Amino acid sequence: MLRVESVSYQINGRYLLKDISFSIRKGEIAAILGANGAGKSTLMKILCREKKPTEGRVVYDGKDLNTYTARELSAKRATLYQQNTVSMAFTVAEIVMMGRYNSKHGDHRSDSTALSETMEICGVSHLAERSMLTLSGGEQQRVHLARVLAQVWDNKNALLLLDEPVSNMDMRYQHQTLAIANALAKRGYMIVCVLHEINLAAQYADRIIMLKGGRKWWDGAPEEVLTTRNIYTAFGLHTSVQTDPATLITRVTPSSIKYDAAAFNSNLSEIFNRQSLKERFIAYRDQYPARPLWHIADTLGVSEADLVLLGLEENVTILSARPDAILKAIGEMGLVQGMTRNVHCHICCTGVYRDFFKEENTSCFQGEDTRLKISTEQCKIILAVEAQGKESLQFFTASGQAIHKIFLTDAGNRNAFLELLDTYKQHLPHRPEIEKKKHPPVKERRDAEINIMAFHEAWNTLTRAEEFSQLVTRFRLTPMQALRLAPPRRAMQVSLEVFRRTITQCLSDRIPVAITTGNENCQQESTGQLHDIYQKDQWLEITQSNGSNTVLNQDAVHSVWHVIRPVHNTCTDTLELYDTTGQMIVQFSGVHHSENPETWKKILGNTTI
Amino acid sequence: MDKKNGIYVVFTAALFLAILLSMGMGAMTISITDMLHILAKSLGLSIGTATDDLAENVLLYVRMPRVLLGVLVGAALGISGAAVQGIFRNPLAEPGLIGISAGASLFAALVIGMESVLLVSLGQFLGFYLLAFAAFAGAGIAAILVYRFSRTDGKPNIATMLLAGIAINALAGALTGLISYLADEQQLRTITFWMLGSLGGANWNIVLGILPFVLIPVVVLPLFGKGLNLFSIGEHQAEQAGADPGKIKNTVIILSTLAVGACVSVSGIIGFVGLLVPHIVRLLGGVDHRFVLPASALLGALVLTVSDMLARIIAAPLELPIGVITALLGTPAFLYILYRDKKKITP
Repeated sequence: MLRVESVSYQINGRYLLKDISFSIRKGEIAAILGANGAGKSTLMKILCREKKPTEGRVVYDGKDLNTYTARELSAKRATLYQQNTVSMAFTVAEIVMMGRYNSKHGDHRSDSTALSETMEICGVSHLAERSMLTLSGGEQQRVHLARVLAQVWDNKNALLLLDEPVSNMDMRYQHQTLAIANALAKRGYMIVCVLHEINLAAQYADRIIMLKGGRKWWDGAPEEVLTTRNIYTAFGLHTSVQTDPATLITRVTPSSIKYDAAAFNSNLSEIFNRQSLKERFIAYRDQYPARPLWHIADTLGVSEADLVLLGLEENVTILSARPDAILKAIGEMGLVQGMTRNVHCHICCTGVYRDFFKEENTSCFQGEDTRLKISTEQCKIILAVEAQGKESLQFFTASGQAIHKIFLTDAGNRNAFLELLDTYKQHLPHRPEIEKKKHPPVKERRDAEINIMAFHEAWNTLTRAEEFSQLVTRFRLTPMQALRLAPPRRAMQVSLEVFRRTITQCLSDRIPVAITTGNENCQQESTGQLHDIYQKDQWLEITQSNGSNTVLNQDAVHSVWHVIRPVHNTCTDTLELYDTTGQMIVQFSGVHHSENPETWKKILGNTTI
Repeated sequence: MDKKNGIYVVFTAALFLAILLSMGMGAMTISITDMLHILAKSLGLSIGTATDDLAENVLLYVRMPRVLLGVLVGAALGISGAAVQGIFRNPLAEPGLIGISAGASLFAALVIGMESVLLVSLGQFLGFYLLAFAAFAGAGIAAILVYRFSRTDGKPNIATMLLAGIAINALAGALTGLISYLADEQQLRTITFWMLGSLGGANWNIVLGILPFVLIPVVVLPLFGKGLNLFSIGEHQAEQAGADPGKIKNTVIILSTLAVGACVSVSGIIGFVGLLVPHIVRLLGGVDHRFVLPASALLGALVLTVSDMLARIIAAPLELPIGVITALLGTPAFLYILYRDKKKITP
């Protein structure tokens, strides 16, 4: 048995592998999957002892891997490397024979049996006398496979480590090679195999270990591990997963990615520009009617505001950039619907924008069951839009990213909307200049540079939940880092399943929940009992009794955290969902002024444990 | 009998023939019968026939040590070349790459350049051996420097070793150039002649002196045949197959340095043998190191014996530098085989 015990590997303070544990039993064939740079090869190097883990250890047959001599190990473990270059013109038979150099007895008969059998099964017998240097990449790979098999041909308890064994092979030999591995496993061999082709892993492995960012993301039977969500998390690609009813084998079909070359190659944009943005937008929208506007904007390489402004002089009016005044006046419009989103989640609440107040650079509304905070400083472009019989006010940043949108409802005051338009309409309308969006690289400081004691102290002495973001800014932390370095029992990572169980429990127990989401310039919160939860594909839609609804892309969730922040004399418990870039997607918390604020905590406590 | 055994037999027979011919030919020709008589007599067997005293002296104290020195030097250069190409995983490698020849040249040039100063104090004492000791020291120092530079975690790193070797070669070359520039006409001639190699200084003391340095590598290196074979599929791969790459690298580098250093110190720099002999062997009988190592020793000895004989008789009574002959002889042979078999060695 091979046991990997919380192995980590770091180089210059950077973890390539973090806390990996699993064990491989006799007769098991495990495939290691993961994106480029996920740590697959590093893990293989540790398993074959080329590198020593910086923490943890690997135990093989009851002994620490490091205590074996190279010769002992060679009798019970063989490794096929990803890259094999032969420096001299050895013949194929000579190369395969090298696998037998350290065979136990120097037994001539078993050596020649191993030689002929491995060459036969790997399909290289007819090449026996050819020079290695004259073979194609796939043929060479098969010769090395034969050599590696020959090394442990007479030890059925041996371990075979195969690092991308089929990368150069044609389709037939890809399947044949994995079929050999599978068949050997059935007779007792242990096999660990790094693969890139998910479907080969699904077909031939008993077990899949999926790595992501140097950690073990999932470990289990192929049908458990290979779900649309897991594959998206590990590889960032949308796929559809089916189970073949006849063989019960999981099949993964990636959705194709569509690009317009002119969107990423500026040399092609001349041809591209001959078609106006409007034509391209219409063509694209006809092709994908269900795509939201911001998604189309991303694909076309423009900002959302660019697309909205296409309607200028028809149904779009530019308002002067006085967000505070405009926001204050929205109360007059009566019942409206406010919408805030980030890439993976959006929230819609219906209500009246009353009780406006200013707090530093943000404008806030504090309703009974909703709350809204907008950094008005960033609202550089404000547009009034009438589309499909719906009037709306939309706030954008200078780079054209949507901050917040307000839609007039049927019960709202249309006259107030028109009045507002008249008052704030730009008299000399000129199209606002939209800046190109910049992505300043987020640089995480090294943990060692951070005063963790002071950070813990500050966390534990928080008095208001709102202070938390200031605290993170003050210590110059990224959100993920703040959670990772949290004081003990203040931030626990839980699974997406825990999150789903928690909200389902809240739904059935009629517990009020506060849902907060938004982007860097706007945060919208809705409080109320959960009314219903729908799930369609990756989308999870949560409606609340106050009429708000929140739509969330579950595939984008990278981690879920249970975070505890002290407030006054008590603590708030929140569930926070983060995406792969470490940005918060949405936050769920209990409601303090509800009849029984402890119920949320209880549910959270139960599901978390 | 398979091809490889055939090659051993042919090489061995040719080597004996070459030794006999080489001992007989030169400024004074000695017939085979005379040779046998002299040998028998020196072993204490009396056959009765009188032998020529001059022929006896020439054979026993000039020709025999010289031919045996050629055999030893050739075997050492051939086998070290094959082994070093094996650990560098590069057929263009040769022992000179790790600075041995350059270090020896520098120290030899130093001794020759400062002869007048040194000879007064040390020269009388050490005599001819001064040059040999200096060259051996130079070879050793250069090799140790390169070796120390390239060690990471107690194992020599081959890529670093190559680069360190190039650096040490360049440095020693520059210093040797500087000494040559400062040297007078006579010294310059001596330096040049030394750098082209010669077996002219041979005597029994020298032969016995380098015997262990040659014999140990020739016996021990072939034991690493399997290890070097595994090396050619990669260091890590070799380790996975049960070899100990650190041990292989250390042994090969130390033994090759000793062998080549000893040879260079007594015969100067003899080029091409270390580079070309292993290639010719591979082209004839395959690349398996268990065959290439001993066969390279045999062919190296053969090539050097023949070259030395030619060096002595082509322009007799003058003597050509042996390095010139090995290059003139080896290169066309190599090019011919390369032309004929290039498909075998390049993809």
